[in-house]
Parts: sequence; C-alpha cells; structure tokens
Amino acid sequence: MVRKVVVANRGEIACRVLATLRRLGIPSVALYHFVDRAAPHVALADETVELTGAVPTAAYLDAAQVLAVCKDKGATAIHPGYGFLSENAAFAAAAKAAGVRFIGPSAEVMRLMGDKIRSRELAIAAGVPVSPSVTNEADAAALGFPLLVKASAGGGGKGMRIVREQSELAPALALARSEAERYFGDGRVYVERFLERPRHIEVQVLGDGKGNVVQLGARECSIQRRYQKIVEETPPARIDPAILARIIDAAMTLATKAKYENAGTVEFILAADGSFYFLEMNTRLQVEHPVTEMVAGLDLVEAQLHIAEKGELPFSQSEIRANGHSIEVRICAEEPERDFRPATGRIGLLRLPSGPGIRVESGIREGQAVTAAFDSLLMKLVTHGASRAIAAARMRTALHDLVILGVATNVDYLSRVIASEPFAAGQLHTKFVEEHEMILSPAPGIDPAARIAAALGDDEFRRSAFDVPEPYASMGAFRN
Amino acid sequence: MSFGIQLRGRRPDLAIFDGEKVRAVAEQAAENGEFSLTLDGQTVRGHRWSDAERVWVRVHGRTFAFDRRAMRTTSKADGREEVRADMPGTVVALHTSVGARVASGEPLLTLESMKLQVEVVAERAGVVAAIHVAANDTFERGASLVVIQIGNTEEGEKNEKVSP
Repeated sequence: MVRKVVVANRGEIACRVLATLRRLGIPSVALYHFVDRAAPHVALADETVELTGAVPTAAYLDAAQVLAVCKDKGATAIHPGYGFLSENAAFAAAAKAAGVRFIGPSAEVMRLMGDKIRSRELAIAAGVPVSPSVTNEADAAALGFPLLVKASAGGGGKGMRIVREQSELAPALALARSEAERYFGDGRVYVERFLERPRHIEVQVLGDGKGNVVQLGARECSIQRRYQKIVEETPPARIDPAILARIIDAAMTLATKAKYENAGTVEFILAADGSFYFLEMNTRLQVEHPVTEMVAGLDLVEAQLHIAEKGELPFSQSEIRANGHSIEVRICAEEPERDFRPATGRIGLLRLPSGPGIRVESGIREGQAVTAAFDSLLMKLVTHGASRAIAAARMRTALHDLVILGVATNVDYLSRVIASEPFAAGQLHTKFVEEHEMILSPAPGIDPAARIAAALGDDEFRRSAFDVPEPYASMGAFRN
Repeated sequence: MSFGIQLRGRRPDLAIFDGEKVRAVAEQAAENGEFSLTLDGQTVRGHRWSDAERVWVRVHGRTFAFDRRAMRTTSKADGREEVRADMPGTVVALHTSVGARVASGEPLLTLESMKLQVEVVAERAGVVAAIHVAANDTFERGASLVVIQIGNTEEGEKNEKVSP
C-alpha cells in the first residue's frame, strides 16, 4: 500500500510528481539541498527534509540519506523522477531491502534494460533490429566509417564520440573510456555505425513485471542540441504508418521479453531509408512524458503508482485512445547564440502563459537563483491540439507569452524553431539544429521599442526625462 | 552592437532619438515589471526587469538584454558633453582630434571592454574640446575620455586646456 511517498528529486519533475500526489491525496515528502530551500517543489509537499551534501547534486544522489528519510517519515514508497537515483539499480535494490517501494522497475529489470550491451543482446535475441556494433577497435573499422563510440552505461551524450576516419578511432576510444569511467563509474564502451540525419523515435510502454505490457504510442524527439532533446512531440511529425507500426511492435516485443515493470521508454533511430534500430531503453519516466499524457488523456505518474502498488496495469491496450497532437519544448537557461552555453543569473520576472491546450511544467519561481549546480532545464511548455498545426500554433502563443527575465534562456530560439519552415513541414532529424543554423539565428538589429523601453528603465535616463530641468540627456553605446 | 539613445525634448511627449530617428514617446504605465508606451502613436506593451548589470526587455515576443555598464555620455549644464567610461578598457583607435568639428553620429573613438569593441559616436554636433586618452591607453571605470563643446562654436580649444 502506498501511504506516503518520498519524492527524491528537485525542479520541474519533483513539482510534476508532487502535483499528482496532491491530486490523489497521497501524503508526500520533498527532499531538498540548502540551496533549494525556497524552491517550488519544497512548497508543494506535505513534509520536507533537508539533505546535506558536499555539493548540491551530491545531496540528491545520496541513497543512504534518502532511505533514512523514508524510515524516519514512515514513507512506503519513493518516486525518483528522472536523473539522480532514477536509474540506479543498487538504489532500487536497497529500497526493496529496506521495505520501501521504488516507483519504477525492479533492480533486476533495470540492470537488464539499463545496460546498453545487455539490452542490445536481448533485442537481438528478440529479433528487434539493432545497429551493427562491436566492442573492440579491430572490428570497429570493419563496420565502415563514420562510426559512433558510446558508453555502455551512458546517456545524455556523455562518453559519445563521432569518428570519421581510422586515425581518429584509437584516441576516441581512449577518451570515451575515460569519460565513461568518470561519469558512470563504468569504462565499457561500444562502437556502431553512425547514421547521417537519423530521426529519434521512442515508444512509451507500461509493464506489470509479469510479461503484460501496453504501449502509449510513439514520440519524436529529433530536435536536439548537444545530444539533448529540446523539442518533442507525439505522434511523430511525418511518418509512414507501416514503419511506425513496426517500431511500436518492436518496442512491445522487447518490453514483453524483458518482463518490463512500470513506465519505460524504448528508443529507436530511424534512418532516411525507413530502416530503424533499437537504441536503448530508459527505465524511468522521461522528461517528455507529458506529450503522451496529453494525447492519451491520462496521468503517467498515477499509472506508475498503480503499478507499484498493485503489481498490475491500470488499463488494457484497448482502453488507450490517442487524441490529437502534442508538442513539448524544454526551456533552458542557456545562450543559443553562444553554442547553447548554460547561463546563470536570477529569475527577476516570471510570467507564465495560459490558455486552451497550453500546459506549463515549471520548477522555478521569481527571485530564484539559477546556478551552475544543476541541469539548465527551467521548465517545459506543453501544448495540445486536434492537429499538429494547432498544437504548433498554440506553442507559438505560449512561447510568445512566456516571460523569463534576469537569465538568458532559449525561449526565443525555440520560437524560431517552431515557426520555421522545416519544422512546419515535419522535416525533422537529429542534425536539425546544426543544419538550420542560419534560419534559426535571431533577426539582426534591436527592436527600437526595446531600446527605448530599456533607456526608460535606466534610473539616470529617467531622471533626465522626468526630473532634470535641462532637457538634454543621452545614453551612449547601450549594448545588446 | 552599440547605439545611441538621446532625449531631445520633453513636451508634450518625450522626443527620443533611438539611433535611427526621433520618436514621440509617452509612458502610459510602468509597474510590476510591465510597461506600456505609445511610440509614434502606436501602443507597445512589454516586460522589463533591471538588475545590477543589465536591463532586460521583452517586447514583441523577443527578449533583449542591455549592458548597463556599457559606455554612457552625459551632458553638462555648461553645454559641454563628456564621454565617460563606465567600465575599464583599452582605447583601440582615435577617430578625431582636438578642435575638430564633429557631426551627430560621427565616430570619436573605438574602445575595447570585456573583449568587445565598441565605437563611441558623438551624440550631438559640436567641436572636440579635449581628448584625454591616446590609442592603446587603458582607462578605468569613470574616466573622462572626450569632451565635446555642443553647438557650432569654435571655442572648444580655448575653453578646455587639458592635455591628453
């Protein structure tokens, strides 16, 4: 029985999980590091506990402290969100040993599907197509260049390298191994063919751990920068229904074979010729899960709780209906014009959009400092409409109305992506950002209204305009 | 990117030169981070936030951040305009000399601050009364760089005897 849930995360995903717990009347405990003491997720929980850590992220990664909180607070379950402890099999096992339900797959399933090499072997055994891949240098060259070197335990582009010729292979392998060791404590890497301009298509599944699995459709997450998704949608933008059906079948086969438990995502790459390959499985709730919720009209966190508590699926495949189209964008503190470099600052002014088909998943508040201590994701905007064009139009409105001042963000960049011709035409692939760099650049020049408003926002200029008798004042080289 | 904003009149509306042309500006409201202006008769609404370093403005669906420490010129009551450094930097080049007549918008000197080059222009026509720096000089925040005698007088040199 899920009586009280510890939410072992922060930011927008902690807020997201807490919202469902509140709606269902399930008592909640939020965890936070000192720097997050005034963060929104802390205010949404029934109880809060401060974690300590040498650095803020260390606090949220400290399995022993999280389990101690569960014991102290009498919590019966942990929701890990994404990132932090969400894909840590040792943590899932420790929770189970401590008599606390981990809302996610069992440690065994996580070890099987979370490991890229083991899950690949399972995919091959299940007849699911995988990209030809090898684990040693000698065989790698035989695959043909370009190649992609990846960390076995990896994710988020860490430990990933593109190799275009033989001479780059050995140094790339050495670098990837050391990066993988540093980030994941696991230096194993593998090499596969690198597909030019592929699409990223993934399938949301729910399993009961006994071999029963349902799918909630496919998402397209092809628009990425620095190997991280920034725009996601469901259903995929423009796809041959027969190919989509085969991808979903492959995901179902794999999840069933793995006796997958709880919510998971099976990721594929889709080549221009229609061939597709299993990429990896994410054994957790994804950042982009809301688009699936919008078209399916259900709450995936609630479904996760149901599975964790009852050991069975909350609905059958025939009960799942897809309605319309949904798009999500990730609002990040970063400077798109400077290679998407993370930005820091303070949220001085925050105004959230609202309206039909607009959903905001925010983890920030006005006055909050944005530091380099955590990931740059501030919030997500999600829109829904009867068609892709309507969902996109609503996203343009939502981005237009969103005001975040005091820290640089990618809001205007995302507006240009959504308004762009190739996006409207559904011509998506994972090199979208690089290929369309020119059309996604801001229009040159400064809006005269912005210049004047800025000058009127300056105390010295205001004094000249409204106080000083001498009617001459000028502001020099105001820079943008 | 630099631009000069000048207040050229205050009645009935503010007359503001935005770097390209003079516009009639009236502030309708400015509170709680929101502002409303009329700009040549058109209503413009937006959001604005100032911190120690920047003025942030969001208008027409775009956000702009203006560096408050960038170069700024001020006018003195005696009709001389002093170009002053609001942040430390280096003089890259001088484009004028003492006694030279300068038109509004004419380049005076190029500066480099925070790895960005900025061309400083004369905000109003006049005569260069003094130049306090030379090429490759470094200067501190607040340093006076150039003084211009506003108007068409040729008195600049006489009025200001300051050696570089």
